[in-house]
Amino acid sequence: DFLNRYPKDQVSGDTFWGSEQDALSGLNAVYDAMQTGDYYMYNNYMYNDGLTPNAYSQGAYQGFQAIGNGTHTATAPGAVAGRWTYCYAGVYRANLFLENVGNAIEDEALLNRTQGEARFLRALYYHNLVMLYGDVPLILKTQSLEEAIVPRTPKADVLAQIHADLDFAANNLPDAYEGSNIGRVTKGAALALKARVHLYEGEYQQTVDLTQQIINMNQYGLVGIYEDVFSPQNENNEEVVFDVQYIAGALGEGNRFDKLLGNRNAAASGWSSLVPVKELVDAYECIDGLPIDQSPLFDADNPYENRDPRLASTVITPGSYFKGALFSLDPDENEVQHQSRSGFLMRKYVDSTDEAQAWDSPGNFIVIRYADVLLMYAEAKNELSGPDAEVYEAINAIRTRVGMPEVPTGLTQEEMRSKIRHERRVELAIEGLYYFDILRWKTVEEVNNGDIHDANGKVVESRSFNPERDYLWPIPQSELDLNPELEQNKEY
Amino acid sequence: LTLSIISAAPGNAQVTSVKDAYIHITKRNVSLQQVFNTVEAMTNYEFTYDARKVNLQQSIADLNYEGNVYGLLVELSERCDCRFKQVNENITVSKAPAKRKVAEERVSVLQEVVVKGKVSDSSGEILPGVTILVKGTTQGTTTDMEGNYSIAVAEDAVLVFSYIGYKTQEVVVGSRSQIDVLMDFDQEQLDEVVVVGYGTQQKENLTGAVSSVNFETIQNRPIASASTALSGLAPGVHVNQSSGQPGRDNATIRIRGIGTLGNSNPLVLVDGIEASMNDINPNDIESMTVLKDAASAAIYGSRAANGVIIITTKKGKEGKLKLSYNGYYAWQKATNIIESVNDYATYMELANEGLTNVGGQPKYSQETIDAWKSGKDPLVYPNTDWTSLIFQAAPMQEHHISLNGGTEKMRFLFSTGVLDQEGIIPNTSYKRYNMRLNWDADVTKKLKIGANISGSWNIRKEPGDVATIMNWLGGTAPGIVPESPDGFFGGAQALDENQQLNNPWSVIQQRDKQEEWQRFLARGFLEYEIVDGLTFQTNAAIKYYNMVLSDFNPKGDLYKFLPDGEKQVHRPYATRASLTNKNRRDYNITLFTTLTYEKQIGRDHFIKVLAGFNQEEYRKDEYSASIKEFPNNNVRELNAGLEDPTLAGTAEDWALRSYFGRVNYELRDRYLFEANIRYDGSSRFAQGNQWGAFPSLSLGWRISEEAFLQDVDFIDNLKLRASWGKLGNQNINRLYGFASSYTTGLNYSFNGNLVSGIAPTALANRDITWETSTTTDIGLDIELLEGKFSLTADYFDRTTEGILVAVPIPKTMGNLTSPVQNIAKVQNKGWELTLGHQNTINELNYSASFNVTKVDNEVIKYKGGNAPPNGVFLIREGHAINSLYGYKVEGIFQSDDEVTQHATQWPGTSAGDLKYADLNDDGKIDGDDRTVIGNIIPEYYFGLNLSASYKGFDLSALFQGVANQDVFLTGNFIAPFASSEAGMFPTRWLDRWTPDNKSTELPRLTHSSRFTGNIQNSSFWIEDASFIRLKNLQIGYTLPAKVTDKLGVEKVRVYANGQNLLTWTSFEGFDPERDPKKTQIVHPNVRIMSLGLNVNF
Repeated sequence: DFLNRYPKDQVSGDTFWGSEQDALSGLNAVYDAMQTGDYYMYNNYMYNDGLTPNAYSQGAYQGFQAIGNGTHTATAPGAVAGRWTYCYAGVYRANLFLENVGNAIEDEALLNRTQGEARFLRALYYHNLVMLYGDVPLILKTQSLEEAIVPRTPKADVLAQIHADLDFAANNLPDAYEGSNIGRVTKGAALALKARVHLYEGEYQQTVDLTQQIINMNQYGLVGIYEDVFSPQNENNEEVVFDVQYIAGALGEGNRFDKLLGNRNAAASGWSSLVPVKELVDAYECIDGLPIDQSPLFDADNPYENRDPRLASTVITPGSYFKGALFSLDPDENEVQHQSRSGFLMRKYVDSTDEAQAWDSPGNFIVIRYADVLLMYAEAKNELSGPDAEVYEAINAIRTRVGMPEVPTGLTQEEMRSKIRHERRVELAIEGLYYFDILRWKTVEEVNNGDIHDANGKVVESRSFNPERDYLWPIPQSELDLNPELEQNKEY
Repeated sequence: LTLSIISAAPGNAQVTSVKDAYIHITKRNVSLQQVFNTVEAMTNYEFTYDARKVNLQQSIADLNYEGNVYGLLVELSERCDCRFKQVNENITVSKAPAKRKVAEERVSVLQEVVVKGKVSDSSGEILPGVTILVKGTTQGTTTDMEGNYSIAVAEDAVLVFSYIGYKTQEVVVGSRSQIDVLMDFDQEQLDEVVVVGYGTQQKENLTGAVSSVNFETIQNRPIASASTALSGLAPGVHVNQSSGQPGRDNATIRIRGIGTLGNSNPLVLVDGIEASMNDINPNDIESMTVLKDAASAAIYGSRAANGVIIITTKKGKEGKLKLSYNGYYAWQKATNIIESVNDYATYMELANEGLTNVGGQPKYSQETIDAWKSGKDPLVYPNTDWTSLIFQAAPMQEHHISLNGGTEKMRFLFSTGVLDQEGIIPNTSYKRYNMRLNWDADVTKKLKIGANISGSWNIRKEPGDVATIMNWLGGTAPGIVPESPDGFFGGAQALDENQQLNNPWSVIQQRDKQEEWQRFLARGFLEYEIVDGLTFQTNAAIKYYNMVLSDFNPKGDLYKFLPDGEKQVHRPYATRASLTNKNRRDYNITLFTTLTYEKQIGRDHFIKVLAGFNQEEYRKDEYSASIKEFPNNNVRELNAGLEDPTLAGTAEDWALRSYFGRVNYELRDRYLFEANIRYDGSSRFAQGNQWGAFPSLSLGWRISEEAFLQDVDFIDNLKLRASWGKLGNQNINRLYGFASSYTTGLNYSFNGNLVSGIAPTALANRDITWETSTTTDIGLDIELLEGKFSLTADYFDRTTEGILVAVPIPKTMGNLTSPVQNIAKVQNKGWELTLGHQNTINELNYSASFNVTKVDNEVIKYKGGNAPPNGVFLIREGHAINSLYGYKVEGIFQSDDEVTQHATQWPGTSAGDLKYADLNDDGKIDGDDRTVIGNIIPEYYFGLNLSASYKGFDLSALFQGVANQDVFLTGNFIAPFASSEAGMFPTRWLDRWTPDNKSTELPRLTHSSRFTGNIQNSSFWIEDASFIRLKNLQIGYTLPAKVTDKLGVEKVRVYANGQNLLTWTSFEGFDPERDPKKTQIVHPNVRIMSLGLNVNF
């Protein structure tokens, strides 16, 4: 008919979900939501470290700088609305898939597996939401405009749903995949995320049980060389429990780390927009296992020598060479163009081959890795029953992998707690997890309240943490404006 | 025009004067009529009179007269208050004027003479068919095929020569027997027939609000786009040219305010076919008609809500071949350039001040500053004046030739031209070649066919996106060498400068983006007069557009120039070279057919009926490809690229089908009635919502035709108009807003394998339908003293309901693009006034026309309550669309004590910062203290058009402007250090607040990346964008006929023209005429001075 015209480059909603192929495409879109939003979600998960004394986010517009120093508001640009938005985009796609997949897939095994994948991803999005915003609307189906006006659901109810989703996933997902299915959610991923959710709630017994279960699967191990864990050439290695998969090649499926984190010398012409600060660098022990203020190996004139090797794998420190160019604080000898206000640059997740192009780098971002599982196990077990042999074994596995001495024996529970916390910080630095750690440990009030410093010891900025308010982010003001049922978090 | 019965005067035998004819008459109680009858019976005289004006029934008490007829008439004139004039055997009776003359003067006796002559126009063309009337009578004649006439009249008679398209002339006969008349071409008269939707209408019978613009005077202006030509000329039409970039200088046109939250562009029709104003060469335009109210626009139904502009192109005329040439050469310059701080040492000191003010460390060392102060080598220590470098003077020229002619049966106009415009930013240019053939033929007496075929070839060059370049220009610093004498581009020279600063000059010089497009429009029509008064017309047209774009972004290194004469590559890893090619093709196919019937019924009734059908369809296809990294910068084709090839392509379409009708009824030439209806179906809506009806009704009352105004001589025309109607708007930005669809490309990869991801990214709304606007218009037209003075006034109220708005939806729904919904309501109320005056004093002709429009815009309904602002722009009920929203600045804190006492502002606020009003008195400044602080829609806009001619000289001036318009300006070139501690800023900031300079309006310097207290959206950043501008001035001289005769040409005219010559404004940005929704600096407008030549053969 002359007047009936339909979109030419889109699939009609009336006929979609008619085949298994449609369903798998729908599921892929649920994965894709982890990458959407340019800067928010896993494209910039490491910026979480900019909210801690690990790093400083140099650009204001991404929003992390303000959250880090406590000047953020509900109308702040960037992350406050960004994370909310893109988590719910993922939730929506998962809900849409779960509502329709029953019509599209006949094979019951495939049906259960794909439902498990979608429910894991939904749980992952909700986990991020409750960690950042507390109570959030629990939406489990696609909504009409009228249905969208909903209040916040108590965090406990959201957590219950997260566990239900993860239990279903753990029961229906395989231990591993082969070939072109590698990268999909596994049973181990579901168990590990579940362990993380429990750990963050201080539910140590469940954490121990779940991490033990993962260890017993014998599916995972530690990669021999720390740097290789993150290398694009060594993807899908034995340490990866779950990651966000990227590929380069101008397909729109590359990550953005080299643009965001890399320096100007790189082919991606990076922004150096998140830079480590002295507080993180100083946290790395000397090679003898002692903190720098105790170790005889520490030389204030050559502060980056004789250090935990993970420092050099995580941070480009002044005086070091990266991709053959000298990086220096002295503008005259510096061969690297940098904008770092701290004098340090990122190395972890930055392409060392210099092939990554702007906005299009190949490496995967690891959401959960086995080292984290071991550290979760150690931490929960220590909290439950003190530093027993298994706790030592777990933490020492992490340390000996990089050639660091084992932790001293005979530690008290408290001493061990401090060792584990230190280990989490340096092992998992710039992976976006330390922020949630200091929040749940409540150490944030101390460590992120005061100045952070550059390589020369000068103040980069002053941090302020308001315990009445800053354990949660504000609900984005735009959402409050649109949904009168929503209430703002305290003090915002 | 009223048709008069013209009768040639009878022969002129010797007759007796009333003074020589004797009569004896005795009557009692007779009427005047009876006296006349008696005299007629007794003599050869015949009385003529207008029975409505002379009371023939009045009685003459006692009449006893003996003497000559003259005496009788004198007596009658005294008793009956009338006057007599004898011409031959006729005695004309009329009412005596109010101021009595002595009785004898009321009776005149005149000799009749025969006058002969020839009538031609000022170019010597003979005019056949000119009407010659004896003033005050119906007696007259017309010129024959050779332009000759002959008429017998009384010697005091005044002959009135009139001809369509020429100024009416009056000539006193006196004792002359040969009177040759030269008719002057008349603009006003031509306008008397106005093009309206699917037809024409006599101006005096118009009942809607219609402005008609004749293009004769506009043509010699150095303008590339027809849209800019309309500026200031028509009331109710606001033309805003927001850029002077070649090929992108077309203006936006808003008719009577902004009627919708979506697309407010009027419908533009060229010879009945929807087209863009940029499709047409201004030289080819005969006239433009703007349909402003619903009554006149309703015939275009669903596309007319924002008004309609009907463009008619020139047509071939019967007669000898005429070749004309128009050409000019012009120079362009930016209208205004902001002076910025170009001395780098000062710049650095100010930057340090801005940093230390907010607790930061100075960015530039004293060493660097001193080096610049003493440094001499401009390569090492540059102080670059970027604006003078980037905005240069640029030439422009246009040449246009048209050939026009035809026979009685067939007429044609052929035109062709070239426009070559370079931009004031180097490497920007626009070239256009165009051609047109308008042809029509009378196949038989009843059958007429014709065609309009036009095409253009356009080439626009620019160094990438000019908006980005403006951005970079704003974001740079003076300490960069644009280009060394040996051709190397510089980067930041100082080590403590941001090393990532761009060199906009290097982009301008190196980036190469060329867009080339061809437009082709062909329309054929056939007209057949089925029976007398019943005409069938059908049209078919195709509009075709093809565009090829090539955008090459070379790999470019920047250099640092060292004191020893060496240079260093600044950015060893610059981005890869890239190339994007794009091809797009659109077409529209339009068919429309009308059936018209008109009939005069008796003397009093005239009826005209129109019925029609229209359909249109559109399709666009486009694809693009890009690739990166090239062997060198000289190969610029896709095949030569090496890395990351990408492809993209899409297509879209829409269709519209319509039925329409119109009835005009005129009762006794003075009561006018018109009704329209259009029934439209659009593909933009779901089945069931596709069709809508748009009716209108209008009435006119030509009061001047009423008997009681017949004697008021100074009123030529007085008409009252009223109209009401509903119009639609289907021009929503989404073609398929109703269709639920899934987006492809939400892809992912597993283990290095790309997999397809598909999900909806937008929420569809099946229920969407038309936006409907209802317009009421009341208007008054007055013309006085034979056209010397005129006034047109209109009051209007246009309310648009069901405006399609993508109302934001909660992100919790899945970050879906909001569905459009028929929700909002916007009202535009206002008035327009046009005052005109024209006169001739001896050989000086002059005219002035002033128009002013006031529009109040108000959002009546949006989303209820407090819709959040979109940045600084607010759409909220009770306010104008996109009102400016932010904090109210009360002043500047003069001391830290004042800061403490005031409501709490941003952390770090201190003396010298902006002080915001605590509107809700809660002791803190936060989002709740924001309010509406400005309106970007001008409240008034106006134009003044002056013209004069004296002998061979002619002059015209157009002033144009707006009043009460606000613009929010922010970012570089406005605010200091607006982007990551760099950026150019105007010299006015030298007068910033410091403890030693407290009496200033500017706050202290602060770096926006560290302290946002002063860069909040606030009234401080609002500028009054009101202006008056001498939009155009033209002075011409036409060579005298004796010179042109020798040259063998008909007419030669030379002229000088200036566009945007002078501007009066308090605006601080580049140019107040800008897109008020853009808050950053934009490409300035240009002042164009030209010298031109018109030659007619």
